[in-house]
Amino acid sequence: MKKEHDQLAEEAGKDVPKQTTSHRVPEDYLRLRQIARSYVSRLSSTGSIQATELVHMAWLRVKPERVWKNKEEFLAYVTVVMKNILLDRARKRVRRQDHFRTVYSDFSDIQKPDDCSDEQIILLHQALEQMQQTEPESAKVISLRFFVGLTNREIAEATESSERTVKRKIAFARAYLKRSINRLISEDV
Amino acid sequence: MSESIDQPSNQDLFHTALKMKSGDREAYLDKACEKNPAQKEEIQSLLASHDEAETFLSNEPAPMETVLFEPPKSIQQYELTEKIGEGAMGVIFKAEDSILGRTVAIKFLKPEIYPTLQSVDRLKREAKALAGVNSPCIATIHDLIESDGICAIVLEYVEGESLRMRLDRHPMTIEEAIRTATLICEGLKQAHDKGIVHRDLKPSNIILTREKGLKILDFGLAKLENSLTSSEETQAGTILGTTAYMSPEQTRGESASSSSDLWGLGCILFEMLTATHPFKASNTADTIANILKSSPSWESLPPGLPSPTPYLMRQCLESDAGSRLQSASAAYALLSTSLETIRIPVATSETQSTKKRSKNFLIFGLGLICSIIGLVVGISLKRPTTGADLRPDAGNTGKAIKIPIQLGSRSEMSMAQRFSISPDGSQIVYANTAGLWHQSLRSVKPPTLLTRSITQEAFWNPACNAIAYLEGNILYAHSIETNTRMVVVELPGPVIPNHGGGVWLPNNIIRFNTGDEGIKEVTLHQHASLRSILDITDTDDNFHDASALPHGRGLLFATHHRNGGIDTLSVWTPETQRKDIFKLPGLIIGYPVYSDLGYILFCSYLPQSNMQFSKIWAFPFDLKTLKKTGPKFLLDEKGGFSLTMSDNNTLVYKLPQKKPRRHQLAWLGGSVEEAQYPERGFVRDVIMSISVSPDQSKMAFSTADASSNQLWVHNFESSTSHLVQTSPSVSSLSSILWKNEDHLVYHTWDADGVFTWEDDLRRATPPRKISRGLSVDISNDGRQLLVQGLPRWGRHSVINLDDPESEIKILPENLNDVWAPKFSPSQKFISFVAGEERKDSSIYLTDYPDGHIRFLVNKELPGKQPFWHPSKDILYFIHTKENQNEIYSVTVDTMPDVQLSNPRLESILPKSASLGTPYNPHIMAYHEEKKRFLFIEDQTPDDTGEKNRGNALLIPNWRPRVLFTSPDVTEEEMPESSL
Repeated sequence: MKKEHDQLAEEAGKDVPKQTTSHRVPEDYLRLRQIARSYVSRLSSTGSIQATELVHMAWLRVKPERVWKNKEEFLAYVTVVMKNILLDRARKRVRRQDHFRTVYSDFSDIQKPDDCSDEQIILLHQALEQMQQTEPESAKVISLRFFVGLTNREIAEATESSERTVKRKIAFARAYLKRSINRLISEDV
Repeated sequence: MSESIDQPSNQDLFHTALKMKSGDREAYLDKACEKNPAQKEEIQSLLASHDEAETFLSNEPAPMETVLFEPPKSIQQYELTEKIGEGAMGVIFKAEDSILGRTVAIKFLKPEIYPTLQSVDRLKREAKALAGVNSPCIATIHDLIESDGICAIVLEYVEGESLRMRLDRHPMTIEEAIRTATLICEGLKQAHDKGIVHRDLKPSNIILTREKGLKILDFGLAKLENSLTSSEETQAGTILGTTAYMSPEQTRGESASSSSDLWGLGCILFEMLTATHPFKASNTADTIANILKSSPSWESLPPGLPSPTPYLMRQCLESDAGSRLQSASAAYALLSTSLETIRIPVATSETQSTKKRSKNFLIFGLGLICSIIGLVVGISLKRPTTGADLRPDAGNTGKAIKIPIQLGSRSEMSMAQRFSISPDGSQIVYANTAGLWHQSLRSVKPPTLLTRSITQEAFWNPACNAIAYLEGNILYAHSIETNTRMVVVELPGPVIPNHGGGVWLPNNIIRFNTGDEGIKEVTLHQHASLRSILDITDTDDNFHDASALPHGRGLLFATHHRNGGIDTLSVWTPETQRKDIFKLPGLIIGYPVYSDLGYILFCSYLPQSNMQFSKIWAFPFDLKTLKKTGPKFLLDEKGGFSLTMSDNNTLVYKLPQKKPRRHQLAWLGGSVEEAQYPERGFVRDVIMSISVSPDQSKMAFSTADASSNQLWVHNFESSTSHLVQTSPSVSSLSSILWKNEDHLVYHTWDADGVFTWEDDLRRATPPRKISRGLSVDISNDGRQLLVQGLPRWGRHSVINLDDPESEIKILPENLNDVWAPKFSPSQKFISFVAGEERKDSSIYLTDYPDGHIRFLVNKELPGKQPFWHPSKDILYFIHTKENQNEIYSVTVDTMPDVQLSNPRLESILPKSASLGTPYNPHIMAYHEEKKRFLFIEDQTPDDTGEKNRGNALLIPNWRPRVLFTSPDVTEEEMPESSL
């Protein structure tokens, strides 16, 4: 019988929902974000994904044999993985705490997932889903900013567009998201 | 929305309008959306939202470029002297600690990883735990610095050459490689014991010091390093270096465990022996593919490796983490055995005695014992003895001589248990709380410590120079002569052995008892030969105290039944399989042994009682037919236990305490005027289990004497106690709990089994049977009852007392192997002592009802016997320091997160306090109103005569002496067809 020192071995705690009120995102996510960002810069220089970083792939929850058609597909995949990590966690916690009604309507401080409450993450996701219907390009750009944490330049490289275009799409997306969120909140109330 | 091809997109309109002054927007949009008024509305609302969005998502993240790090000249008390390295995590500087005057190494973490360092706290905890390891083979973390955006780790400065450099320089000899691996393993062992996993063991992390020592660097830091993978790629080779030693599970992104470190050890040892990495390929991807799929080229190992080494490497480089060697202790044992084996040829030209030693060891190591038994026995018998010779004169027949001997120390806590005499009667091994000891019976030399671990009953090889025993799930063979051991077999998890004993046959087949998992068989050096030879049945709980029948005929053991109470005496032979001889209703059968005069001896005692009341019996037994051939008779009126018998009829057993103990309940603390005893003069043989009523006006406790157990309730106001319940001679009553002011919950353990009862103190209703199992604790609201033994022995369940029909809640699996769980007053936690026979001096808390997270209560302070404050979440425990028992308290806070205070010294117990044994603790209580503790005072008079008496009896030529034949305890004969 192996002894457990769970306090030290975080492995045990990994699947355990932590009783915490902090909005901090899981460490997993941050690590992923760094890996993903490092990919973007490499993708820009080599233009292709080589199976050289299987370890990283594992972090990205990908089977080693997985091959992407192009970097667009890869980035879309990464974004979805990251979004799901945050969303699953937020949903789980909201379900448990059962206080979905307390929505913070002030979104002005939100820059990255750490700034969001669980409810805000869920709302933001719903707003993005709506935007995906009508403005898919902007939705993609703002997702790369928000979930993957890319700079304008990195997004430009990743999407093969100019930084100016990226800036414009972000500005538009911000307005669009803000409006959707407002509507979602009022519907909810 | 239908749009014509020429119609500008929402985005274009939005951006054009955005650039305009707000007054001009309307006119622009009117014109632009002439054909589509809905689009105008859309853009307008978006523009409004844009203004409203303020700073929402407006900040661009910082770019990834590495910020060049300029370290300060000094930081806190550390003066930086020179840069000594640069790694994936950051720059490393040598520095002088101006306060402590020592040289340290400081690792400045790269700013990129700093923000991801979510849990500096966790790192601190880990560093603290690491500091507690205090192993010469581990470089410690001295300090963590966090200031002005700098995060740095202050490490022990180690001078020397890294193993990487050493291996690149020139290849190692076999001995050097194994010696180095042994040292690495020593470090791992100590860190793993504290629950710290390295996760990134590799040659560049290991420094060989000038003093031929070794230091493992960066323990526990790999977690951090993982978060930096992005910056690693800037340095070619870094990833390769790290990846190459990564275990398969780690390359798959799964979490690392202690067995991942053993994988690393296997890789390193392989590389040290062959000068090539077992899985290396030209690029990372192929290396990982190798790690995941291929096995190392074993044929490249040098010839002449000492015997357990290849076994060890195969066990370490097993790609399935579950099948891999699990413990660094096992690896260490294998490596030290290998090392001993290598060193022997060097010693051959030495003295005669060294020669003999090495020969014996080789015999042991190579497993050729059978051919040389005679020789070895001859040598050891002829060896001149030093000190007193305890053997009776040769040819002495007739009357048995009884020789008192002292095994182990005299203190109650280190009570010697589980004796095992060698077949030739010359030596004995025994276990106590300090470990497993060897004592020669031919001389009065002090005993030798074999291992500090808690082991199950040991048994001897026929040559009498080695023993075998289970420790955890590993069966070890331990050479007495060299005091080294090797792994015979590791039982596959999740085996929980809780008893041992067995027989080691001349052909090196070992048959051993595991208790819960039945009896197994394995051949020495062929761990794959492991098989079950006798399983427990549905009605058995376990087999215990297995001993050998002569000439490898079979095994003798007692069977605990699932519901306790009734033990059966059983034999097993390959021909007959299991054969039950008889049952003793209501009694536990202990230590059955066979005497070659044709008798089986055993002892009997009340379940849960003090073994001091046990009796020794014998009955004639025919080895050929395996039948009891006459009635049993009482052998020793004074009683005894831990029987062991040699092939030449030498009997050794433990003596009971000479006088019954005298216990009295006493107060601790309070003013001088206050009474010292709740009821002066209320003295009993044994007092156990104090429990204060919810309103603090009464307490319940139990007492025991040689024939019965009693349950009492004491009224604090009147200072009187009255008897509530007496249980008949063959049962016991203990663990008394207050459901409310009028109802007690307790359990009885008798011939019918173990049951938990609810008893009405007002006698309005008769006692009500609640369930099977032992009552362990009751929640403060009196609703939830914790029961041990449901659904089976060793498990805990919670019963809802309000609704007896409701479903019984079984505690999670991970709380299987725990002792004495207790609800905290808030019912948010359960405290418990780690399992494995309470050998761990750690007390834990877990969240209730989930039981997901364990918190160590007594950090760095060995403790035992935890108990709660009656109304607050304050946990008390006892810490023994230099023979002084101290009471500490730890306060549990839940806001904002679970927080445990540091242990606080509350009080010191007088020397007379009786805490019982680890097996039968006398738990204390705290009286909230009086702010005093209640404890059990031992008033047993100090008997100076006891000292010369010894604690065990050696009878060199045991003869049956019938003391008492009309048995006061009737056995239930087993019908011939019972099995």
